[in-house]
Amino acid sequence: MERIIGIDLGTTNSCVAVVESGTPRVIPNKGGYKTTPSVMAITESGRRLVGQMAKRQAITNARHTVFASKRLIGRKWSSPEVRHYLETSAFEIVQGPHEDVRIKLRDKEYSLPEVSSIILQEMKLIAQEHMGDEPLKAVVTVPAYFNDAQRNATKDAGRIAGLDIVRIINEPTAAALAFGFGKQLDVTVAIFDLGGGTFDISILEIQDGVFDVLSTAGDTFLGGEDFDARIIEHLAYQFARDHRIDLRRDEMALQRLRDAAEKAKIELSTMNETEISLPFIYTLETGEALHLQTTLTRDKFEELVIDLVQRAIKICQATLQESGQDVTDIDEVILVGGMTRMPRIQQAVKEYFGKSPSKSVHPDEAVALGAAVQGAALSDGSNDVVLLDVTPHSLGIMVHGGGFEVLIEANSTIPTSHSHIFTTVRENQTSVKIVVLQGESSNASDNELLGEFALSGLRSAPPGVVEVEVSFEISADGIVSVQARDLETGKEHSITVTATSGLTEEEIQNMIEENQDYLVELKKGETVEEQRASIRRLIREFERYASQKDGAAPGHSAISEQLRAHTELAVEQAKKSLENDNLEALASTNDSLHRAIQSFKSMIQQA
Amino acid sequence: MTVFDDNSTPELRLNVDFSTLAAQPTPEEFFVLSRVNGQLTIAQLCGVTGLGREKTLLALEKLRDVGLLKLSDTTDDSSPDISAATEQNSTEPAQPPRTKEPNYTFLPISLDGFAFDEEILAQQVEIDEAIKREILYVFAQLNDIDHYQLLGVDRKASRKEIRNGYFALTRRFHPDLFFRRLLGDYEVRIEKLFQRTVKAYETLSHPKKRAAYDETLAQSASSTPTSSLTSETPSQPEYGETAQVEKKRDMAFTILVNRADGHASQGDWNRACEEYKNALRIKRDLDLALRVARTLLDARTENEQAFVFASAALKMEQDCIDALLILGELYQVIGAHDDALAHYRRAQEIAPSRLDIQQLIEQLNC
Repeated sequence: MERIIGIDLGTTNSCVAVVESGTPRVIPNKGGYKTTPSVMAITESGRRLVGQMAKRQAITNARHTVFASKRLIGRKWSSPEVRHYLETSAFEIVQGPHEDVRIKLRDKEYSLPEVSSIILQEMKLIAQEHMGDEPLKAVVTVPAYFNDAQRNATKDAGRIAGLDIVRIINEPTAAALAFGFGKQLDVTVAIFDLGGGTFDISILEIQDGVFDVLSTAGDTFLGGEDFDARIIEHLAYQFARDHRIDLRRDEMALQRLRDAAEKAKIELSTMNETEISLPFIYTLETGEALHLQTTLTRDKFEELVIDLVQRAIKICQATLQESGQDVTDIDEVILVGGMTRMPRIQQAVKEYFGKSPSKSVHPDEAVALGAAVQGAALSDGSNDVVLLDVTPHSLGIMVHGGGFEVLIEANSTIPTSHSHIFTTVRENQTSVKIVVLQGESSNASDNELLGEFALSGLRSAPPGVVEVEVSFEISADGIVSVQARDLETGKEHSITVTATSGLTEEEIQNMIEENQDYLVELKKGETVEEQRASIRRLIREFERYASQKDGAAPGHSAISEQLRAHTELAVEQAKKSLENDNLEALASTNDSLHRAIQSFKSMIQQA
Repeated sequence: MTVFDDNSTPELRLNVDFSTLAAQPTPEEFFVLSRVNGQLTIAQLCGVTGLGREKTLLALEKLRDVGLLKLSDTTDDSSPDISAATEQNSTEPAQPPRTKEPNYTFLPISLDGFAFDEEILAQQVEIDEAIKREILYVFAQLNDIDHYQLLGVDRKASRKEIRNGYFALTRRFHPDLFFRRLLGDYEVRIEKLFQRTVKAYETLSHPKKRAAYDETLAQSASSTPTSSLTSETPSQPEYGETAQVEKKRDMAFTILVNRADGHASQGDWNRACEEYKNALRIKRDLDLALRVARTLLDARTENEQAFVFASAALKMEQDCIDALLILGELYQVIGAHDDALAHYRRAQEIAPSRLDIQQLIEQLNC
C-alpha cells in the first residue's frame, strides 16, 4: 500500500509528517517552517492565501482573513460556542442553510469543512513537494473530545480537498504514539494537550507498541486563543478606561491587539514582563492619534487566566478517576500543544500529578509525527503499533418520556458495535422515530443531537409487542452509524449521521468539483517563473494603459496624479523584485501590483 | 529482541517446577523447547523447528526469560542483556513477563488437533497463512470459552496478566492489522474476535465487573455439573479446566522425555533414568517404558534400570509381549535361565504363532 502521511490540523497551526525508513519526520513548508498557520484569506483581488502569507496580511485584511476556524467546525449556528465566537470574530460569520455556520469572505460564503479543506490542501501540497509522488492518503488528527459532527465535518474537508483521509485519530493519542513508538516500554502515561483551541487529557497504558487508551476527556473551547482573549480584554479595558474608546470595534485595531496579545503571551513564557507597544492604534475624529503603550507582567497574566488553568486541571481529575488509575500510577506526564510552554501550566500539572512533566516530545510536532506513525502502521499492516482508542462521549437514543438510553458508554474501546431491542409504546403504533444523541446527561435534550430517522410500516399491535432492533456502530474514526430493524419483517433503515457536518452530499460534490477548477488556477502561479511572468504581464498592461490615457486626457486631477505616482512606484518596485527568487515575495508583489493597477484603472475611469 | 549467537547451544534447565512458571509457554514454545537437547545450536534449531527463524528465536527468548532454558555460549556469560533479564526476573517476581504471543493453552481444542474448514482456508485473501489458521481456530471456539480462556489466563490471574493476554490477542486480531485488505469471510470473524476480546478485557480488568462475572461462571458451573461437554452454554469451565490440565501434562511429559534423551545420548544414564521416571509418573506411557528398557538393555551396563522400566511396562499392560521379551533377555544376560524361560513361555502363550519367540525358547533349552 502507498505511504500514508500524518496531518495535525491544528486550531492555530498545522503540521504534516511522514515515516521515512522507519523514522517519523516533519515535512517543512516552502518557507522552511515545520508548522504552517491554519489561516486562510481572500485578498481584495480575489486571490486565496493560506498559511504564513495569509497570516502576514491579516492586519490590513482582517475582515477577510479566517483564524481558528477549527473552533467552529461541526457546530450548530445556535450553539453557545458560536454565539461567543460571534462577539470577538473579525471575519463575518453567517447562518448556513442547515443550522450550520458559514464564513462570508468577499461576498462568498464558505462552509467550515471548505475552510478546513483549504488548509488540508496546503498541507497536502507541502507533502507532495517533499515526497515527489502524490500522497493522496492521510491520517488526520482531531481533538479527542470532538463529537461525531465535528469528526464528520473533518472527513468532509478531506473529501473536498481531494485527500483520502483513511483514519481520524485523536490528538493526544497521536502524541502518545510519537512518544512510545519504537520503544520497549511498559508504562502508564497522561497526555496533557493544550493547543490553540482545545484541551484534551488522555490516560494510556503503553506496552511495547500497544497503546491502550483508558480514558479521555477535554474541552473543545479551551486553548491558547482563550488565553490571548484574556490579554486582549485586559488591554482593551485599560484603553477604554483611559480614552473611553472600545478598540475591539475597530477591525484593524482588534487584529493588532490579537497579534500583540499572542506575542506577549509567548514572551511571558520566558520573561517576567513584556512591553506592549501599539503606536497609532486609533485615530480620533480630530485627527489626533492614540497609542497603546503598556507593560504586562507574568504575574498579571497568570492572574488573568488562572481560572482557565484550573478548568484544565479539573478535567484531569475527572479523567483520571474514570480511568480507574491513581495519580501515583502515572509514570509519565507528557505535555503537548504550544500552550503548555506557559510556566504556570507546567507548575499546575506538576502540582496535580506530583511529578515533573516529561518534555520528551516536541509540543508542536508530536501530534503530526504520531499521525504519521499510525499511517505507516496502517499501510504496512505490521503489529509494531497497535492502537486501542476510545470514544469520548456516551452514545444512545431518546426513549419515551425524553430520557436518554445509553447504548455505548463513554471510554469504550473502538471500533465497537452494540445492539438493543426496543418496543413500541402506543396502541397500534406503526412507526418509530429513532433520535440519536451523544453526551453524558440522562436527559436527552441536554445531549448533542446527531440525527434522527423513522422506521415505518410496523405491524399494528398492542404496545410492547412489536420489537425494533437498533444497532450502533462506532468506527475506528470515532464516527457513528446507526441501523434500525423491524424484527418481524426484517425491514431496515440506516443512517450515517452526515447531515450534521453542515453539508449535504450534493453540496460536498459541488465543492469537490469547484475545487478541481480551483486547483487549475492554483497551479498557474505555483513556481517562481510563473509569478515573474504574471508580474511582467501586469507591468506591460499598466504601461499600455498609462500611455493610452496620456494621449487622451492631458489634464488629470490631483488625486489621479497622486495615484499615478503611487502606481508607478509600485511598478518600479515590481520591476526590481523580478530579480528576487523568493516565491512568497514574488507572489505578494504580484498581489499588490494587481491591486494598485486595479485601483488606478478604476480612478481613471471615474475621472 | 535479544540478538543470539547463532552458534551457541541452548541447554535445558533441570528440575524446573512447571506449575510455578511465571507464564505458561504457548504450544509453539513448548514445541521449540522439545527440540532443545543441549546439542543443537541456535542456527540448527531454527532449521529443525519448521517455524522459521523469527518465530524460533522469539520462542527461545521467551523460554529463556521464563527460566526453562540456559543459553550458554562463548560470549554471553557477561552479556548485559541476559544478566539484566535474569536480574529483573529475580528481583520482581510479581511482574509477569511481557509475552507478545497469545496463549491458546486454555482453549478446549489444541491447534494441532483442530479440524479446519478447508473451504474457508482455501479462500484467496490478503492474510498470512498462519494467521488465517489462528483466526479460524480461535473463532470456532469463541462460544465455548469464558473470558479467562480467551485471554489465556487462569481464574486467579492478576490485572497485569490479564492485560498481557489482552494485548497479545490485539497484536493478532486488531482490525487495523488488516486495514483495507482483501479479507473475504475472515472479515466478520476478525471483527467478532476483536469485539469479544475487548469485551473480555473490559469485564476482567474492572474489579466489580470481574466479580460479577466470576459469580455467573460459578453459577453456570454448578448448574451444569458434568455434562458440560455437550452443553451449548457459553462457558464450560470444567471441561476447559480438564483439557487444560491434560494439555499441560502432555507438554511436561514431552519436555522431560526430551531432556532424558539428551542425557542418554551423552551416556549420563543416571540422570536420564531420573527424568524418564519423572515423565512416567506424569503419564503412564507404555511405549516410553518399553523404549527405555530396550535402550538400557542394549547399553549392557544398566541392567538394573532396564529391569525397572520393563517391569513398569508389564505393570501397565499385563500381557505386553515386548515387556516379557525384554525381561526374558535381561534374565538371560544375568544368567537366570529359568526366569528367562518363564517369561518367554508366557509370551509364547499370548502369541503362540510367533516364530521368533519359539526360537528364543529353543535356543535357551539347548
